[in-house]
Amino acid sequence: MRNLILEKIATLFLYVMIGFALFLLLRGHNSPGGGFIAGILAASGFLMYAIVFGSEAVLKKIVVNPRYIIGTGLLLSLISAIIPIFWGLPPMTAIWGTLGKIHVGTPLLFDTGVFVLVTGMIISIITNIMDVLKWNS
Amino acid sequence: MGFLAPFLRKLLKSYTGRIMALFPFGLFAVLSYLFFLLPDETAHLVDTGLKLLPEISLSFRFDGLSLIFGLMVSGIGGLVLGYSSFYMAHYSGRSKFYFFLVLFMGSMLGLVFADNLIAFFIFWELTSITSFFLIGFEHENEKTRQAALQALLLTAFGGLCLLFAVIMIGNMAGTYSLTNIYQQGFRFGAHSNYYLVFVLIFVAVATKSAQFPFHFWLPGAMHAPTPVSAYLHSATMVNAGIFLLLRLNPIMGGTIIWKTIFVITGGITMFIGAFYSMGQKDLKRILAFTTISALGTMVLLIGMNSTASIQAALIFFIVHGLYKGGLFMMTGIIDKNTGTRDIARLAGLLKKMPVTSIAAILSLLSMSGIPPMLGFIGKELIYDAKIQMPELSWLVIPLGVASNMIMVAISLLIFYEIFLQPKGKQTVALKQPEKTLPGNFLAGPVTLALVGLTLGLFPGWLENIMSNALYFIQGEIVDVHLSLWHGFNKVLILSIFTVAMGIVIFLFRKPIGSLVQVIIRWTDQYYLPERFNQLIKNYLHLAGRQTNRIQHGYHRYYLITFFTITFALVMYQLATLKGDWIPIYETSPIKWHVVMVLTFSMLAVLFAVFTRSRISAIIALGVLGYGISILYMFYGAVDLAITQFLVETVIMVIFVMVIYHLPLFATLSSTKTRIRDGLIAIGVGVMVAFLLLKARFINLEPPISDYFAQNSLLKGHGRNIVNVILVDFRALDTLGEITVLALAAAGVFTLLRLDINRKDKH
Repeated sequence: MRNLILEKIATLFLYVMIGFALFLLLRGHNSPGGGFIAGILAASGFLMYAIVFGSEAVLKKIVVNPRYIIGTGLLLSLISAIIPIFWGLPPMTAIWGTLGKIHVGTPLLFDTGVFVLVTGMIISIITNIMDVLKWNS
Repeated sequence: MGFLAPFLRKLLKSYTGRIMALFPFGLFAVLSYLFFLLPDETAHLVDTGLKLLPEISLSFRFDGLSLIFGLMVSGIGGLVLGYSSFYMAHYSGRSKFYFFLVLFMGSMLGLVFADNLIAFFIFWELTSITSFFLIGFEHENEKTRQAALQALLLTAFGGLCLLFAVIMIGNMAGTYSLTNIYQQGFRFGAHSNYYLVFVLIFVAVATKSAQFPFHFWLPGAMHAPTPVSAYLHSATMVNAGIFLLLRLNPIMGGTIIWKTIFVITGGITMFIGAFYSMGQKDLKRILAFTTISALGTMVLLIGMNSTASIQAALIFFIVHGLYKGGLFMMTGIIDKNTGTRDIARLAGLLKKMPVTSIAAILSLLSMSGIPPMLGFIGKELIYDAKIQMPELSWLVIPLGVASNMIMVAISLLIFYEIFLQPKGKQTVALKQPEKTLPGNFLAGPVTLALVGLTLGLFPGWLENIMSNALYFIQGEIVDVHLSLWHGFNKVLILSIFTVAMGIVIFLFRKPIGSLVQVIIRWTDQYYLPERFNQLIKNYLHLAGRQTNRIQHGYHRYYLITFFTITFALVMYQLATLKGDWIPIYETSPIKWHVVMVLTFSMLAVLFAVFTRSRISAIIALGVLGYGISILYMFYGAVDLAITQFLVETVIMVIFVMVIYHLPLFATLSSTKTRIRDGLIAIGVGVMVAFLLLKARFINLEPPISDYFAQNSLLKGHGRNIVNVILVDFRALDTLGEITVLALAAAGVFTLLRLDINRKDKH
């Protein structure tokens, strides 16, 4: 049975959550927020979407396989850990530069990695559980 | 480089091998440039400035020794890449092949030029791992898998020994840098740890370089595609052990144990390799056993530890690399073009494939040590070095002459059986005439044979670099003089005798061959690969039984074990601690909103315990979780509160989804077990409460939170301390945690997918 209102809300909720998650991710260094929280938040958007539309729709929505998202996240964090070696610093040293008035540095890349990984992981787990339960399909 | 290989391959299609070969050739050119520039007694040290850890810098050392090895690795590597672009043309998974081949090449080059001992070890292990993938390339075949696993287990075991040895050497010398160690003139032959380090190094070398009794993995490794075998045998992998010995010679060589052990092992390996090669029919197997023999020769020469013998070992390394690479590639060409490697079935190739044959014949001449090839000079030097060792010559000369006789006989045998047309043998049909084979396929063996010939005619080109290498190995300035003609002396007589005896063995090959067969069949009872497999199997069986006992697979019993033991240990520790329990002097006024949240949470817990419906139990637990996050809010931990809220929500949703599909609530456990579980739960709760109370009075170290609070904005550029800690101060922890998360997702995925697939099948 389709529920139009619920479907609209779920779609809207997804975009709002992703936008809010990105906001939390970027401000995380100075105010409450950060990669982990943002990841869960974005994933909760997808969770709602999955409940309404089913796991297939989520997989179609994110285009790539969640496994690759997890890998990408881990890779991003690793890259940010390795970058300092090329400056002759021990791995994981934070390197900061300025972009206009804003400080930008490897920790942001690291946090982005965490964000991507957490999102991918939760999506992966949800869709798999739903496939087992044959939810909405 | 290697990481680019799969992408490059998509771009370049079938030209991948040829294009990629340009990189090693470029490197080869640079190295040859260095080769001619290098003065007699200096080493270039290139510090890349990259540091893996404070002690471990990635600096590269260019001296005579590493240049000789580096030139061989890059030169033959380039030829092999060009060669494999045709050989591998019809294999699937070529991207993977190039990926591992180039990675293998890179790690071998890193190993050769590494200045830091730890970096050396890392590259050593990398060669083991990449060679595992290369040997096991055709992994559909069970034998291949076994051979690859065997090679990996043995070389990795050796690598472990090497790690211990390297750490001990580094500790004794106070530095891991080879250059510094050399400059200190550090030698520890008299140190009490010497014997331990020696044994470790011996195992590392013997496993890597296929010395007796670890030699058996090398013939197995010929299940690899032929280009890999050519590369593995000629310039890389097995020669890494030789390189290690040469590198360590100035530090720990020359002692009595060094001489005896290496001379004996090398001698035995040399002879066994040569002996076994006589009984083989497969061209590749013959070559594999001659490689073992050659490695034995090199170890023996290094073990003798005289200037002449080290010089002979270096020259022999070049000789062997050139002819063995050429012969393996020749085998690959013949195999591709006729479909067989069995010497009993091949015949008359000289007429049909003249270019390959002539190149192969030149290589065979080099192998049997006949002028004017470089092999002759190598052999002369070896005999010379052996004669100069009066205390050992009684052992090493007969062994050496015998192995060389067999080499001559084998070369003749291959020549006679394959290239000529013996009576009663049918010629094999070629799949395509030699003219149509691409140039880069033939270039490998031809180039190597020609280089062998040229160096044989003009050995003077090697003198400069040899004396540089010898300076660093032996620590003395040596004037190297190489020439084809040494004059009529004892060495030449020995050579002539060897060749003559080799011809005799060849003439009587039938009776000798059957004798060898008998002996090989007898020794097959002690077939080492089988024994090794048996050992591993028994070990796994034992481990499996142990694991089954401890890991019974019942989640509830794991939890019971874990909680009761933790409870006992922590309570014991708490009871022994002295001091206050309850902070009387700093009780703050009771906040009513906190009390309210706590009351609600407690009610929720009680409800969850006694309810008869699953859904309400879950929701009650959710109330508890929200209660806790509200508490976090009250005490200013906003990040924590948000996280707790979100996690709680997601978990609740998933729980509800799962529970919806479970059968209705039922009491399956007896009252007894319920009471037991209740007791354990209460106990753990009490323990945590005591622990928290006590924790306020124990300060082992000054708290680190002040440091974080002060430096968060200064060093971390962030005002949110929690996040700065997560992504900057404690980034390693976070990295570990997210790796665990990724693994957990993979675990969930496999568990659930397995279930789905099983259901689909039914």
